[in-house]
Amino acid sequence: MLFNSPVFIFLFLPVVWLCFAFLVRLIPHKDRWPIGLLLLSSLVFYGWWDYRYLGMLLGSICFNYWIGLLLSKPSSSRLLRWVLGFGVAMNVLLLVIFKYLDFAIESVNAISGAGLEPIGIVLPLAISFFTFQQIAYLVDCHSGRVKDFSFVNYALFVSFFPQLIAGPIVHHGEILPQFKDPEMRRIDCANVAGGIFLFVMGLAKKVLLADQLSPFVQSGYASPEMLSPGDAWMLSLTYSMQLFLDFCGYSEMAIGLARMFNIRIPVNFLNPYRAVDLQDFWRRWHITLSTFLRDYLYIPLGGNRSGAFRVGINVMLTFAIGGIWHGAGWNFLIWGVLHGIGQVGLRLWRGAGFRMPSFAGWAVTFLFVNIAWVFFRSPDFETAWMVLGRMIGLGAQGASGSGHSTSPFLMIVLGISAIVSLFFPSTRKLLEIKPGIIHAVIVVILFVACVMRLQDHSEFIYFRF
Amino acid sequence: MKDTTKEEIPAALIRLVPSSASRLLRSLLRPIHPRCWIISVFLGVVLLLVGLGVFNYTVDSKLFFLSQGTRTVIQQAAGKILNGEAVVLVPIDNIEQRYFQKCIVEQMVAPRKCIVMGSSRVQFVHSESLGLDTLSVFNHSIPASGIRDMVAVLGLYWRVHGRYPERVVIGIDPWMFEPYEAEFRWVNLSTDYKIAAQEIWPTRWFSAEGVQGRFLYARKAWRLVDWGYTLGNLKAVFRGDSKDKLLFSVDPEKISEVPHHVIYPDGSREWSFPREPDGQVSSESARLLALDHAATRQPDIRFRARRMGMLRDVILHLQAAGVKVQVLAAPLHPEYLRSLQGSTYGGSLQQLDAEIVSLCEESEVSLVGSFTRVEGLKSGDFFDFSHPAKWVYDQLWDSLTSSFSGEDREASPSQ
Repeated sequence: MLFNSPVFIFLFLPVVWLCFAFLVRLIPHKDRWPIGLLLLSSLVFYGWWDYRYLGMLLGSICFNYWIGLLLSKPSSSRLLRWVLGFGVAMNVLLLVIFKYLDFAIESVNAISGAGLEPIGIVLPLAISFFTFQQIAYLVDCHSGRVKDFSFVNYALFVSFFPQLIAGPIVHHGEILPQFKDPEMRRIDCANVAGGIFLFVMGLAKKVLLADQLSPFVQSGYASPEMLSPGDAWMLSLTYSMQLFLDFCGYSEMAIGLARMFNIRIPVNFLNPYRAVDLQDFWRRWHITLSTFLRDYLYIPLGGNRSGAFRVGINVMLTFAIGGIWHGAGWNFLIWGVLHGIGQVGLRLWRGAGFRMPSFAGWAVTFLFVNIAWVFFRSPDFETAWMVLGRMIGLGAQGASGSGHSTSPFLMIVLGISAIVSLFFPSTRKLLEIKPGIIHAVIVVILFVACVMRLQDHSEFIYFRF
Repeated sequence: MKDTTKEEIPAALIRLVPSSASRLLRSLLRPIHPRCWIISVFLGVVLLLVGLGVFNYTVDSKLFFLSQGTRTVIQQAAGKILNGEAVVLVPIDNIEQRYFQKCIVEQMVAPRKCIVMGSSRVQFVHSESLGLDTLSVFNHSIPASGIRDMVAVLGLYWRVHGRYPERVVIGIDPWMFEPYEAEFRWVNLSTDYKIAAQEIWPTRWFSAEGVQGRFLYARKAWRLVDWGYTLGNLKAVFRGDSKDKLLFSVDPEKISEVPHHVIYPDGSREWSFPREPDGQVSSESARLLALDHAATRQPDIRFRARRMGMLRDVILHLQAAGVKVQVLAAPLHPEYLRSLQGSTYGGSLQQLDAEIVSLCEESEVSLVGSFTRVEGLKSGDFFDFSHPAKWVYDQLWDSLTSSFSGEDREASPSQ
């Protein structure tokens, strides 16, 4: 079920919210029931896509809960380390089987010509997200930072429908305490109003902007040989905007939905295209993933504590793993490595005492990010090189032109998208707004405009990760 | 009381306007009680959606929600056409094409010898190109139609006349085999669709797939708030059209004025979209339209094998009923095909062509044309990416050498 589908907006969400309101208002003494309701709704939400994978999600939850319980019991530290290693390995194995096995087989075939048959497993929705959340949970169980061992709470933390499919990647330390909070079990009109406001802002970003850019991106990457240099630049800019608006829109919808049920989940974006350097970019883009990678990969690898060379290796490894986390493909790895190189380069630049004016820093950062997205989006290297080549005029002679650089519709939507990306209030600012009449008018207009386009609803880009 | 001099008034106004504007802005931005806010949003959304629905229902530029007045106009037009008169319906795009076909079949005394079914891509196929006289043929082309529309037209014949015509030409398009969002348009003929579907698929589950009443009406009702439909209606309002202003004329002078709004007695039509002032096809605009369509289409759409199965079942059913069947696959613009080369869609298109050839061979049906074999065709032979000009169809039929076509030509009184 997609957040931008009529069945979610007009059926699932109102029914779940009304049941939630009924439970907290009319049966307040049953304080576990709202949690149970949200868990059940989340499982229905996940099973709607393909009920056969529900077993896998529940199995993963039960397994990690059990490992968490083992890790919380007093025992020898050596044994606990083994248990942790086993738990993490099983999670990684699940991810490898479902996400990377076919990629590995194809890579082996490409290198050795072995001719192995890919297995063709369908990637279960959200596997990358719930696996990461649970690895973090196990690590924190091992280090004694987990206090709540209620199974229902844990299951809801992993499967809570607003964040289940594509994040934000939530930390148990942020979410589990909220399930115990009596404030969660009441109808808070301020939270509902704020949630609706944010949900509609996200929906508008997705439906009115990202989805309008999508056909241009699809056609451009499908026929890169047609691109003139102008088309290639427009294509890369279009994808940069589409990706941001699609994912930021999804995250805002998720945060808004959680807010309607009095749950606060962390923000994922802070106007990332306003970043003045790459470090700044990663503090603003997919913040929950950056935080996870920092806390559970970069710092355990040694972080900034070792020498410059080792720090560089840690940075490169973190970004390479971050890249491959997005998808099973060399292009994602290259994208991650590019960002790693950019980060190392930035450290060297700063270490040498160089500085750059803010505007120049912004321009260089945006250009770098925009070019790196070409690898992220391209189905293969050949396409990526062709698009990049066309951007600098290579092989563009005789290209018939795809029409990207001459489409007035694309220019207008891209212009609006750029204004929204650069100047529109960030998710955090939107959350701080106490809605007034003008906000109500905006919400009504945007929501109705989105409803008018819901027949063509499309998947979110991050669903495939 | 202090006198206000002439000099003081503008200054007072300057002071007044900004302060009142900023006061207004402040009051609009001032937070209101969350409960009031939620209620006002809810009411605002409901009111706006209802208003939109009322607007779309009232204008209804595609006559999706037929009123009695428009039904009468379409019925009269159908009667005139069946009597051998060419009819001008202005604007032709505003006619509910499925209802029009229903009126035609219901008012026919007996089925014509040959019918043509398909989308706007077969609307040019006329009686002469089939080697028959005008009143032996009826072209039931429906813009944007799918396989289900054809099933519905066959159902109409079965319900009204208890039999099918002797010969059926099935015009096919690639998008008939795609997961096609707009295919629910045939719902206005759902009763007749069910009649034919029960004949064609008496036991198969998809005979009734998607025809549950509530689902259909929900999809139809959704049109009331649909973006594209609202834009279409807004344009109609700006043009001054409305469903009550549908013009209807058989004035021969008008036929020459608006050739693209004419329906001829054999059901065939001219190109219903604007073209160059001199009436000629513009080669450059066709090329640009083809490129534009290639650039904006979803490249990874795959054709549904089940749709091919549906087409096969329709053909076999007609053959079992003693009907001679012919399949017409009008070519696509060469530039459009070139743009799609290498894409998933381009590959699927080639594969689809091959599957159609093998289907026609298996079922011993003559196939006219091909989507992708476009040798000798140039941009000026097309109106856009998918609509070849009239002479392309005539050439296609002329080049057909099958004995089936020959028999009919010989039998035709017009020869």
